[in-house]
Amino acid sequence: MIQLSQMMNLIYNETLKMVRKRRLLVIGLLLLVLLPIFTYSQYKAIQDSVKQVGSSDWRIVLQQQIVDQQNRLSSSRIPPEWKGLIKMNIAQQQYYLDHNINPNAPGAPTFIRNFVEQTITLFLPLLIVILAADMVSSEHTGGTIKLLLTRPVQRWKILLSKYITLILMISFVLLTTAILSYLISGIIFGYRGWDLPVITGFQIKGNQLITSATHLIPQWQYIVMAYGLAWFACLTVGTISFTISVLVRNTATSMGIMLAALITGMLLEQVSPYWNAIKYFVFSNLRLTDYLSGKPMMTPGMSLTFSLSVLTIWSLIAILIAFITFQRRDVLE
Amino acid sequence: MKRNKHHFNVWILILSTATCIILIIGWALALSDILHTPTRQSIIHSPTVQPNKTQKNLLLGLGDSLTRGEGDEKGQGYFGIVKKNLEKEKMPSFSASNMAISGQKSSELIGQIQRKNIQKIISEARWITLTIGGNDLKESIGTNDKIDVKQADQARKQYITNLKLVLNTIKKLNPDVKLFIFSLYNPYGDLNDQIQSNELIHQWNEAIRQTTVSFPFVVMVPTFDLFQLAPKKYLYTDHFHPNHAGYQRMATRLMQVLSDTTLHKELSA
Amino acid sequence: MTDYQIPVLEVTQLGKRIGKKTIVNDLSFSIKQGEIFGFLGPNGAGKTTTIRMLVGLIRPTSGTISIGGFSLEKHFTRAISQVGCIVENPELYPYLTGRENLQIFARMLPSIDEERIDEVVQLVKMEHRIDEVVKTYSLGMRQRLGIAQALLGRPKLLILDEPTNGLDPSGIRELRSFIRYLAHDEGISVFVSSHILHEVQLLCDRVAIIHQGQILQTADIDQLISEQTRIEWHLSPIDKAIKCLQNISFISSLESDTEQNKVWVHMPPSRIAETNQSLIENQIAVMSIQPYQKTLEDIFLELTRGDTVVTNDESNL
Repeated sequence: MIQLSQMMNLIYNETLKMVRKRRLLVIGLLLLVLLPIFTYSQYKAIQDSVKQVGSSDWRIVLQQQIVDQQNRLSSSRIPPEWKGLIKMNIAQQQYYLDHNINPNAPGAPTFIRNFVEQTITLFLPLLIVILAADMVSSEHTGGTIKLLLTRPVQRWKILLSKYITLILMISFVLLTTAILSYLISGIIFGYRGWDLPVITGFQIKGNQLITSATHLIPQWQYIVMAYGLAWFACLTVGTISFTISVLVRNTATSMGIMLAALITGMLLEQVSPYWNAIKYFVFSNLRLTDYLSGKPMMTPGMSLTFSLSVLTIWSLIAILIAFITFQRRDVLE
Repeated sequence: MKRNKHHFNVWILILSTATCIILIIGWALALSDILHTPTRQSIIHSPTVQPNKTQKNLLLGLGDSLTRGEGDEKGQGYFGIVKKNLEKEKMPSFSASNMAISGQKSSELIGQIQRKNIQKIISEARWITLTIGGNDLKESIGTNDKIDVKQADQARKQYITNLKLVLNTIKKLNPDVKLFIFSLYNPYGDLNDQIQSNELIHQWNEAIRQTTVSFPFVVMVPTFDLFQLAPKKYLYTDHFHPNHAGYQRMATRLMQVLSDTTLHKELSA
Repeated sequence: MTDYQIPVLEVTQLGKRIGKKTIVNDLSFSIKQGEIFGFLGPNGAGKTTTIRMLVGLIRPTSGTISIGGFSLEKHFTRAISQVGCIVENPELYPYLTGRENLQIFARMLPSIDEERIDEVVQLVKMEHRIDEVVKTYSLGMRQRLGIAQALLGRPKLLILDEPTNGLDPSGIRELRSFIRYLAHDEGISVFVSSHILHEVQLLCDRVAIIHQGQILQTADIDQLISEQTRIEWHLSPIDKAIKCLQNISFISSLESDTEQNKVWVHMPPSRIAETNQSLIENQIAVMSIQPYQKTLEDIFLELTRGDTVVTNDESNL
């Protein structure tokens, strides 16, 4: 009991620091800036395709997209690796068409879903890095680590309280993201559409899209699932960022390292069809929501189990290093 | 003030914890959903199609790369030019949709118009423009210098059968539509055996003409003469597709006939 | 204060090596209840490293530290809960108010309530600005808040690292009397590190002198200071005077400048009159007597003269 209340006290302390350092505020503001831009671009994209196709009927728009992609297939400039991808995309869109389900029915819930799918590799991890990159290093730069570690509390407990706080704050950031994107996008797209049916359960075997296991779920359930997966991806980013923050003792360096790693991961994705080993790199596995939506992966041999394993193994190693280092290290500065 | 701050932090903690639990559940749901193929062979029941109001002035492009506009350095093709011209007429709810696929042969076109959604679009169209046959012909000639007459004959017969099927299908789907089919031109005019290839094209065009005669809603727009005398001027560097000037000629010709129908509509209205 | 008590802090043969470099070697000392213990040495002598070992920030490579009878290594939380400390500067969370800082530390200690916070705030006279953000505090106020933080858990041992750094003279005086009050009235043992002899002299009961990672001497402060004062004599005739002074038993380390007729000696200041008289008796004219305020360097010079220097150098080879 005493142990538990002590841990809760520690977590409260860390939350207080996080709030008063205005980290959450910064993240909120970033979202407030980005979301309207994103909403508008989404709106513009819809408008444009409607204008191009000359029809506001989503079936015609979707059909047009399919035909456009079929035309891309016949171009000789597209490498064969991409063609498989396009073919699967066509198959999926055709499937939506055949079942008369609009994958992009306008509405704030659809926006929430699209937003998390599109930001899971860079923007959301970035927000998490803002949270995590200085959780430990700022105590070093500020010198407060000396006060923190001379309390009658074991070091591992202090680190654990910070880590738990990070997990909670990651959850909070995702909640904020969902709420803000709902409120902001709803202004344009309307606030309805929680029950819209969404198809999930696409499987990819080799170069084929297998639809035998597909089923419909209401959009709200899909969103909970997508955010659950995004949470896991963010948790991995957070954990690694946290470890770096333990190791480097300098906030700027720790942020720089994480940014470089994230962007590298994103760039490497482009070459992944040619360089298969990239799939073992942690930040090449952040697109967990694509498994849900059935969007084909560019790298052969990647599956949800594979990606989750890679993320988990990296996280475990990272957190182990963090605890061992923190427990043992002399505070010299 | 102090207490409020305290409450704020506590609230953040409670909210975060609750969200965290929900997200873990979401994660677990996603995991089981993706990993365990549901035993129930879930059948997707499509929601009933709401009949959306038929679009009165839809221009639909079907066929191959010519309708797609390949070779046009401005990226329009005859379809794009015609679309622009019609837009100028300010018809109510005018729209255009180009469903042509580069490299498509007549047999593949049959497959495409079997699709439910394409059928729906066809049924809503007021005009359909069609280019088909070029790829059939190209394939039957092959890459050999010498044209295999027998093989070309066989290909033509198959093509005509397919064309009839296509026209019949469209007629069934939309008896009111006006369909404009471009006949073939000779892209090889300035290359190898000119006389023989010209003769071949004429045979195909004649077959198309004979076929379309029995479909009153179909208008055949000839193109052979457009590219006959100065092929270099009107063909793209690939010696197969028209360039912008070539497409412009095709569009002009098409507009001449097509504008009759818009005028007629307005007069009767 | 009774001698039979367990010392509040007991350090035995403490050593720290980083790589091949020995930072601190074979330190042993103990602090009794209510005692103000000075830890004197120049910068780079190993003071900070020692303090960090005392509060568990650095692991010693040899030796033991025991606080209130608990080994710091084996029973970290029980040992450290009796310590309040400021290591180097009082670094607090600048974006929080003074009170929030104290609350943060209070939450990490067992059973500290709001009342105790108010109590320490009053003790360091911070009531009027405790709800302002630390960013806006002066260094003196931060120092006071640091002390409030150190006192929060009712420690038996207070460890202060160069506490007068950056304070103005009146602040230093205030701090000094405050520390004396804590030690002599509240019975808290205080460990103070400093590189200024004068400061230690005014504040401490006992002092350990550290140089190049080793303790040169541990002694009561009066002993250290009074025993060895350096005095300048202006005498004539100088040769006779030197002979005369050399014969006096309590005089040591005689240096002379025959051209200027000056002699420097180490001797207890209480015996100046006696010496003066014997010089006069020997018909030596005494033109001036100048006692020097001793500096840390003087003590080092004294202490490192002879054997100490040699052993010290050997240990560093």
